Amino acid sequence: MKVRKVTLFDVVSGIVLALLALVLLVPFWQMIVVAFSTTEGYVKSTYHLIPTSFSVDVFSQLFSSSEIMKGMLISLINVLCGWLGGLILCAMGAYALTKKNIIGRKFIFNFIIFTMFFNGGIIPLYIWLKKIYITDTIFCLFLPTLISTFYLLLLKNSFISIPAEMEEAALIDGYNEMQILFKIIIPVSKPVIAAVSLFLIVQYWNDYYNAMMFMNKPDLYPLGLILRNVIISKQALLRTPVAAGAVLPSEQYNMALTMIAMLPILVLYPFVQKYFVAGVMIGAVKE
Amino acid sequence: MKRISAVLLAVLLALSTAACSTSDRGGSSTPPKTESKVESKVESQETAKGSEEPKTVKMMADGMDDKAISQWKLLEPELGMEIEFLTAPGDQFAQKVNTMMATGEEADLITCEDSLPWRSWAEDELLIDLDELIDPVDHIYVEKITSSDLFKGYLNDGKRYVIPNAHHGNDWTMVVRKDIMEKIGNPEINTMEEYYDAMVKAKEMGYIGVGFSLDDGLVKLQTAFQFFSYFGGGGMKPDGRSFDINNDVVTDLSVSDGTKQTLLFLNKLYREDLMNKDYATIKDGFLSTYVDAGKVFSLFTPAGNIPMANEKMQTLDPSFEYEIIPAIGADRPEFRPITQGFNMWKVSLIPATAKNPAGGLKLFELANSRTGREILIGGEKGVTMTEEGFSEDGVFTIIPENCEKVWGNATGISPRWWGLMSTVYGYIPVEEYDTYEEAYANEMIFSTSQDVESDNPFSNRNVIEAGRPYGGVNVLSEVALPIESEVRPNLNNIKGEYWNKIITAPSEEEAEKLWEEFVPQWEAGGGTDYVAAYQEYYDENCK
Repeated sequence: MKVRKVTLFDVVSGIVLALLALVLLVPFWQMIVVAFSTTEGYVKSTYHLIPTSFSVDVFSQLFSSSEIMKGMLISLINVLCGWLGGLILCAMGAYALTKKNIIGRKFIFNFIIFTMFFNGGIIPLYIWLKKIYITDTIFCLFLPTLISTFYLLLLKNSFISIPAEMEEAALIDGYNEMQILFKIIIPVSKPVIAAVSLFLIVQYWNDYYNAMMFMNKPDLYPLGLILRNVIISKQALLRTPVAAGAVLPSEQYNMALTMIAMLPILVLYPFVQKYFVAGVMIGAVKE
Repeated sequence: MKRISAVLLAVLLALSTAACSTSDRGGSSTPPKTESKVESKVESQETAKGSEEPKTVKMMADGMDDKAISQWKLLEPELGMEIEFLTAPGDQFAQKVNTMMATGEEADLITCEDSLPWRSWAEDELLIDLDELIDPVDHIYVEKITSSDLFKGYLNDGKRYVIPNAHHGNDWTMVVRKDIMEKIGNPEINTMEEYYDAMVKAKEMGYIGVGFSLDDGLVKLQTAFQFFSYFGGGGMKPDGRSFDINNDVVTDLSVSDGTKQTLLFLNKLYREDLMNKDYATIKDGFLSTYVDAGKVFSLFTPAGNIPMANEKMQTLDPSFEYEIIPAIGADRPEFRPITQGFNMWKVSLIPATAKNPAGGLKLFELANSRTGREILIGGEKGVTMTEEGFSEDGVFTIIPENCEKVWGNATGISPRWWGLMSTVYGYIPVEEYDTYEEAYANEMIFSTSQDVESDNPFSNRNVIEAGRPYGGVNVLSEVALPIESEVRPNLNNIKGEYWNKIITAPSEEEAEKLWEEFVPQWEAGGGTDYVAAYQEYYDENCK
C-alpha cells in the first residue's frame, strides 16, 4: 500500500486547524466548567479551565423554573412545526418545479428566486401577521418563515438529478404525483433531506427574532429568546444606573442555560453529519 | 419572452408592494399617520357619544416578564381597568417601538428611551398632544412633572407630548474595604489627596487602590464618576451629554479644565499602579465586585451589589467587608454635584392610535401616586407584606417566605418597581409642594421594617440616602438634539482615543501634551457646531 508523504503544507494546515479547534473548544469547555462549579469555586477564580469543584445546583434551579421549562416546550413545538411544515412545503414546491410541463414554470421559478433578494421588510410583515391574527400566537414563530427559497432550491436541485425513469415506473404502477413525491423521491433523497432538516431544526431551535418582533407577551417566549434576554438584556441592564434594584442572574446560571440551549443540537449533529456535506453538494455540479 | 417575464415581474412587485399598505381601502395611498389619526378621532367620538368606558388599558414596556406583569396587575382594582402588557427585550425595544409606531399598533401608553424619534412622531401627529388630555386636578403628578423647569427641554414647540419618568439620582456609592481600612489605621478620607494616600498604603499591603470595571472602555467611565465629580469634570455619561451653563453661555464639560484635572489624576493612578489595568478584559459591568473583590481596596459601584459581594467573598475570607463611605469631598454621605443629571429615566408617551388614551394617562398617574408606589414596591397585603401595609413614614414589613415564592427573592425587592414610569423606591409628594422640583427634593424613600430594625447599611433607604440626586443639573441635562446623531459618534471616537491615551500616558508631561492636542481635535471634529446647536436651543427655549 502506498503511504502518502506528509508535506509541510499538511503540518501547517494541521496546526492551524488544531488552533482553530482550540479557539472554539476553550470557551465551550469553560462554559461547562463554570456551569458545574460551586459558587465558592467560581468566585475563587472566575476564569479557570481545570475544574476545582462540582455542583449541579444551577441546573436544578433551571429545571425547576417554569419559565425555562415552558420556553423549552415552546421551542420544541416551534421546531417540530417549522421543521416538518417547512420540509413538506419546500419538498412539494421543489418537486413541482422539476416538472417541465408546468405552464409558466420559468416565471414562477424566477419569482421565487426574486424573493431571495428582495422582501417587503419587517413593517409590512408585521402588518400582515397582525391582519391574519397570528401575532402573539405560537404560529407567528414558524409560519412567516415556513418556506425558504434556499432550501427549496437545494431540494429542487437534488430532485432533478433523480432519473426520470423512476418516476415513469411509478406512474406505470399507478402512483399519483403525491405518492411519487413521498414514496419515491423523498426516500431516495435522504442526504439532502437530512441536510435541510438539520438547517431547519437549528434555525427554529435558535430562533428568537420572530418571537421578539411578533410576540408581545412573554408567556409564549421560546428558549432562544429567554436565553438571549438573560444574557444580552442583563448586559444592557448593567449599563443603567438603577441595576442594583434588579435581581440579576449569576454567570453560572447563564452558562448552564446556554448549555441547555446548545445540548439538543449537539446531540443531533453527529447523527446527521454524514449526510450533511453530501446533501448540500447535491446538484451543485451540473453534468 | 424575457421582456414579458420582466414586465410581469415588475407588475407583481408593484402589486405586492401595494398589498403591504396599511390602508384597508384597497390600495389607497393615504399615509398611515393620517389614517391613524382618523381612526383615533373616530374612536374618541365613539367614546364621547356615551359608549361604555374602556375596560382595558394597553401598556407597552420593555423586558416585562411574568413576575413583573403580575406585580403591575395588582394596580388593576385601583385603576378600574385591566392592564394588558405589550413587551419586547430591552435591547431590541427601540426597534419594536419604531415598528409599532409605523404600523399603527394600538398601545395606550408606551414607556421608552427618550432617544427614540418622538419629536418627529409628534410633528407627524403620531402622538397625542397631552395638553388636550391632562387635567391638572386628576393628573396632578403628570401636570407638575411635565410643566417643571427641570424638564422644560422636553417640550416640543411649547407642547407636551412625553412624560419624563422620574429617577432619584443614583444609587452608585463609594465603597472601601473595611478590613483593609483597619489594617492601614483607619485614615480619614475627606479629600482626594487623603484618598490617594490611603490607596498608596493599601498598595504597600498588596492591594489595588481603586478598581474599575469598564466593559465599554475608558471613555464611558461610569465607575469613575467619583473622580470627575470631585474635580468638576464631565462628559463620561454614556450618551456623552454634559453641559454647563454660566451667564446663559453653554459649554461642554468634555473639554473643561475639570475634565483635564480628572484625567491627569487618573493618569497618576495609572502610572503608579494604583488602579487596576485589566478593565479591558472585564466583560461583566459589575464583575470587579467579584473578580477584584479580593484585591481591590476601593471602588465606585451600585451599592445594591455590595451585600452580594460581601456574602460571596466572606465564604473565602471571613474578614472581608466592603462599606459605604461618604462621597469624597462631600460634607455628608451625598454625591457631589457633577453638573449633569440623572433625574430622568426614559419617557412615556401616548400614540395617536391609542384606543384608551385617558386610561393610559390614568395608569401613569396611579403608578406615581403614593397608593401606586406602595402597591408596586410592597405588593399585596397579606401576601408579600403584612396586612398593616405602609406606615406614615413609608415603612412596611415584608413576609420573606412569601416574597421568595412570589418575587423569587426573600429580601423584599419587588419586580419592576424600578425603571417603569419611575425609579423612585418611594414616592414624590407632589400634592404637598408647589413645584415638582420641591416635591422631588423631598421624596419619601420606603424601607422594610426588617431593614430599619437591623439598621441594614445597604437598605434601599440608606443606599439612596448615600446617593442623593446629583446637584447642578440644568435644562440641557435631559435634552437630546438631532445633532447628537450627526456629530456624537465622531466626538465620542475622538474622546475615546485621547482619553485612553491621556490616562495611560507614560508621564504627566505627555498626558498634558495629549490634552492640548485633544481640545482642538474635538472642536474641529464637530464639537464647535455641537455646542453652538445647544446654545441656539437654549437661547430659543430655555432662557
